[in-house]
Amino acid sequence: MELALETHGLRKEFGDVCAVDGIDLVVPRGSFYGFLGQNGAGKSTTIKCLTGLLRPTAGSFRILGLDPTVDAVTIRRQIGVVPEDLGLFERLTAAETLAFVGQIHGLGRDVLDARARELLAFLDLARAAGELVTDYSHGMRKKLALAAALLPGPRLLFLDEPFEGIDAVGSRKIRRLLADFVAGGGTVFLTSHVLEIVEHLCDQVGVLHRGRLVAQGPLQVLREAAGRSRTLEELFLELVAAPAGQATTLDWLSG
Amino acid sequence: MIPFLRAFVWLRWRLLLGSLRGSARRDALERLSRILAAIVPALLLLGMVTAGLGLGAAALGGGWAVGSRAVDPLPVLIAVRGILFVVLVVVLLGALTGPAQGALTGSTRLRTLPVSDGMLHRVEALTALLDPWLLYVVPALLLLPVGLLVGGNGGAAVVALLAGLALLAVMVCLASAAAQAGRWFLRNRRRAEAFTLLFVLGLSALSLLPALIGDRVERELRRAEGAGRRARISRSLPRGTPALPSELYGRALRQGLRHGPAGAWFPIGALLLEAGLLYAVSAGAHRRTLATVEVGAPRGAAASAAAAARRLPFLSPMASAVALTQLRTALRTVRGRLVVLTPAPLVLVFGVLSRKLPHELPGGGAWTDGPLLLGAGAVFALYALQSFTMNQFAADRSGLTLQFLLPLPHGALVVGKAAGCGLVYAASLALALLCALGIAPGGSLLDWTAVLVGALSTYTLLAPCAALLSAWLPVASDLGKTGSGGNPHGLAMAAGTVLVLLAAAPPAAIVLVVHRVLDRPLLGLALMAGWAALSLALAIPLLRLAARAIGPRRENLALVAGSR
Repeated sequence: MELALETHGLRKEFGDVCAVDGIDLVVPRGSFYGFLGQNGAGKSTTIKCLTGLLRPTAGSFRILGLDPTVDAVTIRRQIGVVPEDLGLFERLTAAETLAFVGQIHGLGRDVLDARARELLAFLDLARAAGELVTDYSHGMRKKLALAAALLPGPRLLFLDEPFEGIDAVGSRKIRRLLADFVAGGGTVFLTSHVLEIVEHLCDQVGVLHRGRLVAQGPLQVLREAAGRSRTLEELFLELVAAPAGQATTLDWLSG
Repeated sequence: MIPFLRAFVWLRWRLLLGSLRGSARRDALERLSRILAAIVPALLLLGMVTAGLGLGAAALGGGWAVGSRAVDPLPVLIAVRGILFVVLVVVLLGALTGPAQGALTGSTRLRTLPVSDGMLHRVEALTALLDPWLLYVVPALLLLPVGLLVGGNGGAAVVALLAGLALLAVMVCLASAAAQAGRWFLRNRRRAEAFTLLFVLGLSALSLLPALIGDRVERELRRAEGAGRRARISRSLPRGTPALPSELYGRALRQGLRHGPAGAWFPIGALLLEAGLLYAVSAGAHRRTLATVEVGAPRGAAASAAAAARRLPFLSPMASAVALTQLRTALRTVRGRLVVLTPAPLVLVFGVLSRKLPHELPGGGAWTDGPLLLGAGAVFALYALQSFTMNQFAADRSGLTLQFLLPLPHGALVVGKAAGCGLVYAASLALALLCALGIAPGGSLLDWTAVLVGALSTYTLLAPCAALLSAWLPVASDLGKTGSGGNPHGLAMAAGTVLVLLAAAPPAAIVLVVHRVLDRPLLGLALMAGWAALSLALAIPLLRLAARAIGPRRENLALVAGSR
């Protein structure tokens, strides 16, 4: 099996806090990988380590068969990222943001212009292309960050909560776009708290709990292991030991 | 009101502590840098407290001396009016330049609480009392009446106390009105541009005032003797001066000393009226700010990616992209526009002062020389540019994340940043050149060229050092803020100040010795060109060193830039 991403004992510590505790990820090429976990589980930290924003404390990893300690710039040519903070200049327009990304990737003016127009139109940002990012809504920013990640035509996408704040129409379009991307041989590694979307899109799942990878593999296999009728939500809640329907003690709210 | 006030004071205090505490996700250099960053404001605060107490002691002594008729009250009153005028100006400028610094109005959370807009405004207005410059004069305003009382003039003491409280109310309302009006203005970027321009020009005009007024008052003091001195001094001041709060306070004191409380009701009443008017302005601006959304597309913003993707001569496409982004983002911030616009009026002020009042400037009338004026403007422009050069990576905030995620080598990033800041500097220098040419057009072309080459060589040497400092001492600054929130690390600024002096010293020496003393402009230009070539030769390996310094600091830079 050819892998888009593999990690071996990946660990990240911040002082005394261990955010990612020796995880071994296996992401096949051409897969749609859902990386799940509660808030603070270490998902975004993992993506930051994998995309070179943070330096792992221990462990190693390969992306698209390349070693990031040797081929960091080559890897960055082949990946697209929607990071946690979206990675946007507040005082650039959408068109200028895409021009910046295109220039760094060495796209020709014609290619850049054609791709930028197509992406902005697809993501309903064409009319706001000349406005500053600082004037964008959260959803618009997310769409622009996705456009910037897609512009150079990457082979592997890292998407940190790509659907958060996106309207229903946009979300559906993006889901279809990502499904087509994977069908065309691309790989998507995404985090999301919307388990219905993950269940619908992803064929591979990894569950992170307090920095540790507690489950990983094809979604179908994980569900079969836990009992066929189980939903991803039930499986996830069982893995992170948070029983559904936990009794609330906030009695004063109902009175 | 009191519980709200207590809650908001607590909130401010916790926010201050939170900003000092930092995060565990930082390396050792960053933790040290945070400690150093906290030391500078702490020392400033200590200095201000000491100076405030000293001023209070002086007010106590002065009050006693005047109250007991041991001294002529006129010099004391002139000093009081002068100090209070300066404090008024500083409070006004502080409020105008800091409207974007975490104001309560901007907090959505606070607006969702069951607090009326009016209450929010009153609390905000009262927090102006925490302005260090106001705290600086409070001991003096309270101890002057004590001194007068001890000196035996109870009536004047009552007047001084009432006038002091009224003046304090004016200052609080002035700070609040200026901050609220500034905030409302800056909600619209077009209006903000006009505001910035007016502010810079107004500030330049204002900086001329003390020298011009001081000179006129000095002349009148020399001419007049004995009785009638006060009238002559008053006549030498610009029209409208008597309505200034500091003047009204001085007038109340004078009347109190002469006639007791009965004679001082008019100036105290006028002070209260001014406070009321300023409060109304502040409340109106606050209401408008809450009702206004931030709007306005920038001029010249590209709506097409192809139009935005330009390549600068002598730079790689990657470095070009970084440089253009740096230029665009800089010119779209208030601070960036200030950097470009400020040196030109300063050249103008220097030029005017050197003609009108040569004895007021170090160097006297030498500043009537156009190329020298340009040189002064070039050095000032480098200082103004520090907010961009000395924190060039972290100031991009989320934009730095994008740059780190792209296949952008650190070398291209450093070169692009140096070129981008250089373009901002060139714009600032061009305006300073126009002003210098307008005010002192004389001098040979060789002189002008030598100064320009000298200015560019100074920047060339400074750029890699600035990149190194930015990599070592990053701060999550916001260049949309005009106050300290947009400043680089204090240590980086201090080092930058020294570096500007060091880098500017050789070109300055060439201009002064070869052009002015030896009067050999051609030799001067040749030497300057040689120095520029040497600067470039030194800058290239230094830029490579700066690029290598980013690697080990990459994680910390990303964390600092991404911190909220």
